[in-house]
Amino acid sequence: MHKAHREPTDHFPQPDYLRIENVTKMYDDFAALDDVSLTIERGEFICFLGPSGCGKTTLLRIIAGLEEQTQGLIIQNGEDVSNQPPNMRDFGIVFQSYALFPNLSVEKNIAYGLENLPRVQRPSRKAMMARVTELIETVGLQDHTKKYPAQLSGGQQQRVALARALACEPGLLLLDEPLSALDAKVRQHLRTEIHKLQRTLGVTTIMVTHDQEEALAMADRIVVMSNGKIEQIGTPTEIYQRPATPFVAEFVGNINLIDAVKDQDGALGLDQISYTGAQTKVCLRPEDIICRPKSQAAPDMFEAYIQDVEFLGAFYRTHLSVPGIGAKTIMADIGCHEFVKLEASLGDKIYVRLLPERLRTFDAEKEKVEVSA
Amino acid sequence: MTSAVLRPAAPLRKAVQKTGPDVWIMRAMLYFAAGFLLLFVLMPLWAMLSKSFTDGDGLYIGLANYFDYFATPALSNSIYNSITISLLVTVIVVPMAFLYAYGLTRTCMRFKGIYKALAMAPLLAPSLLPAISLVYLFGNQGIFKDVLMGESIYGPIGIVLGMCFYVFPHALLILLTALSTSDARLYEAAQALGAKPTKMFLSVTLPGVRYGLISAVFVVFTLVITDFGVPKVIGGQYNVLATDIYKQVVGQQNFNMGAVVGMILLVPACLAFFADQMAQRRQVSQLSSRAVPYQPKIERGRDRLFLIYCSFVSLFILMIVGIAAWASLIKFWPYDFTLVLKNYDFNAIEPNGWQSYTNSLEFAALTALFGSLFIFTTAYLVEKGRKHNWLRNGLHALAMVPLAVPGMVLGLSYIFFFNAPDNPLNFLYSTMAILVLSTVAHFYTVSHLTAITALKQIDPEIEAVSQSLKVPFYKTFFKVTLPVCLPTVLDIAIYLFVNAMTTVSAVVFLYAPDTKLASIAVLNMDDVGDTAPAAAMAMMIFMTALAVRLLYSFMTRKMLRRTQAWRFK
Repeated sequence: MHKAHREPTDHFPQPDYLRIENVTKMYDDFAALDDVSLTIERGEFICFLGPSGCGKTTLLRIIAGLEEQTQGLIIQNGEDVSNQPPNMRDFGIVFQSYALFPNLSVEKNIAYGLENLPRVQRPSRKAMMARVTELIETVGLQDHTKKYPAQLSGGQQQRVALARALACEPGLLLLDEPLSALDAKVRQHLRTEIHKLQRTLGVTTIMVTHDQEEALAMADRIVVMSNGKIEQIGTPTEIYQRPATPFVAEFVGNINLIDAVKDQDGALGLDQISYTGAQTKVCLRPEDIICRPKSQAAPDMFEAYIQDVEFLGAFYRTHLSVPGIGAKTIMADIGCHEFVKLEASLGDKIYVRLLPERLRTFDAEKEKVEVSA
Repeated sequence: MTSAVLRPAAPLRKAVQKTGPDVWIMRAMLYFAAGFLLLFVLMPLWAMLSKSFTDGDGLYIGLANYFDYFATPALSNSIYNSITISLLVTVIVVPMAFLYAYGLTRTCMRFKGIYKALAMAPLLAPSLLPAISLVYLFGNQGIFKDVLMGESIYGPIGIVLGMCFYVFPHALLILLTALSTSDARLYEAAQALGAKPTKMFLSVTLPGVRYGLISAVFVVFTLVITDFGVPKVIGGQYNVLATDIYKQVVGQQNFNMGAVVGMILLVPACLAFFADQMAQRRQVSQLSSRAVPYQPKIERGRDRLFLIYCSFVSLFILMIVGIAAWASLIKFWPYDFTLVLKNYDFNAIEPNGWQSYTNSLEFAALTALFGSLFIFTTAYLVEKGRKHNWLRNGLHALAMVPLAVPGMVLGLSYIFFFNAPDNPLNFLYSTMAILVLSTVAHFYTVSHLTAITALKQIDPEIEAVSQSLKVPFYKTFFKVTLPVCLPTVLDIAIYLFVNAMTTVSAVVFLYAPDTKLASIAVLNMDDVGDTAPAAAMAMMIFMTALAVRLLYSFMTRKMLRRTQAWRFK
């Protein structure tokens, strides 16, 4: 089988598969991407995560060559492809809208790229059929080969799009919000499958998503973006447990951001009235707040009042007012069993402990991160 | 390798993608399309504009022609006449078409399909046909002459009546679209709030079709003020702008004054065009994808009323067509009502005889074939092309221009441009080719917009996917885009065919003896008093257009089943 991607040249010997250097994209005066640099290793699964308008899709399209960057370099497999049109680059792409050819059957859709290869590269009829059959089996659509896209469900259509993108064995797989148009159940199922498929094939993959759960579940590394800039690059655990900026902390998962002051010794005061020092922000995930009934009060605990309770199936999300740490209410997630033990209802007083090893602070001025405690 | 180490950081240069053969081909095609619209729309208009500033010898005389025009009441009165007629017809036709469309969309009246088809009949006839029928009905020897109580049908009355017939389906189509895109949830909400039917009509229905109504008003106004066929046959001594151009150029050979009238006729057409564009821009899609289509409920009284009204209107339309058909078969109106076919023996009546008819067939077929392919391909480049943004946007803007240019003006401007001895395209003059090219240009805008609408419905990422699969754009165009849009391409072809069969305005200035068309033959025969053969030729046009339409809907049903299988679940 023909291998579509080019051999690495010896001009820029790089261990990395894809290097994005100082890429900027201007629309008139608006910078959709502002000096973005990033390195991706061969075989990695990368997620671009961010709210809509953060530039993640623009970056993906620039990597594909579908948009032209205003400045900067794209180096793929050791070759500078910055100025190559898309059809000279080595990638397969899957869109949110599937973008299947509506008048071609499933197998014709998948074979489209193979059939239109230049004569010298085109596999024989037989090899092509074998390849298409193999792909159809990989994505589990054996019973649908002759059907047209309109006759398939959304999940099935996206499998066809995936198989079509993989048909020519690209060195890079680009997924532009591939799961966003699907129902929750199908989405989860396909998520697992794409993940598994990527592991087996080992193809370097970039997926754009605004769904943090998807990114956490699938990615080797996540690139969190906001306003055309990279906020943080890291493994899912790093991103979730050690967010680099308040933006990342708030965007990924749920979090409590509490105003606080820090004195010269670095001690934190959550009660802003009794302490003086530099303004700072403390953040803490709702699951890192331990709740105890009135009877188990301890010196390292704050008293809290239950303002609101949402039942979310596996746990209860409570909104608590804590007089000791200012006016804002905070969220605490309490497991079902724990919640029963609290024996508390709306308005009742309980006691909470903020796990110190999970507390993180951001300087209010620099918004830079420091690990406290 | 040490070179990598020495390589400086990413240089701050502007990135420019290399141009592959794909882009070159696309660019060449875009320039070709832009060249066509420049040569066959803009430059002729420019030629006409400059002609209006020169005298008969080609000397520049500034605004002298215009001063002349306004100093001659016989000429400038036509402005007043044209506007009066257009306003009258607009005021009559738009409410009538609105009621008709309301009946077809918002009631449970019976035979909706038949009534819709009947109302479309005028689209298949040249505008000369209703005028001829009116002559038979109310003319000097008309069967209902007395109804007019001494007034003459030759003049404003005849023009208004004929125009009503001619423009009715145009207004109806716009209002049908406006009325059928309504959200049932709005009515449910209004009902839940206790709104009475009148209140509901004023607060929900009317605002919903506001832009459709505005559009209908401007379309009707423009069609009436630019139409030539009706006033030519039945206008009598009542002069309007469209007939003035013809008289100045063909009658008096005063080309410069013809150019002045042409420029003046451009003004209301352009104003209407811009007003309509503005109204449409404000019409953001009123119908979200979540809208629930409105389903009328049975209300016997109302349904019956609308049935009676629609019957009355379609009867009028049927009568106009029927009278033309009947008159074409009668031996000697109004003295001998024996049915004969002698009026169809064109070879014995007119020098070109049946040749005009076969010319028309050839002309319409060529226009449909080349026009639909060219317009669709250009629309594809505009909508789906990459890069060349200014060229694609410019092309789209150029494609809008023909809608604002009346056929008479376009035809006249072709004389000035292509008949100029120093124009290298002079060889086109008085050929079939210039008839086809002018007609493609004349009906460009509607076809272009139809194609764009269809192309917008195809996933925009299909082009990106085929690039990622390294398939050149033209392969995907032939394998995917064109097959998917086949029904639209055929729609455009039929639209061009029918319009080519029925049009008079642009071609009246451009035909040569051996390229005379059927619609011109109608005009000429009527001019010399052969009214019955003129009616016969008009019926030939009508029946041909009808046959092609029927054949088309029959064939497409079969063909769609074969080529569009993928559409069905």
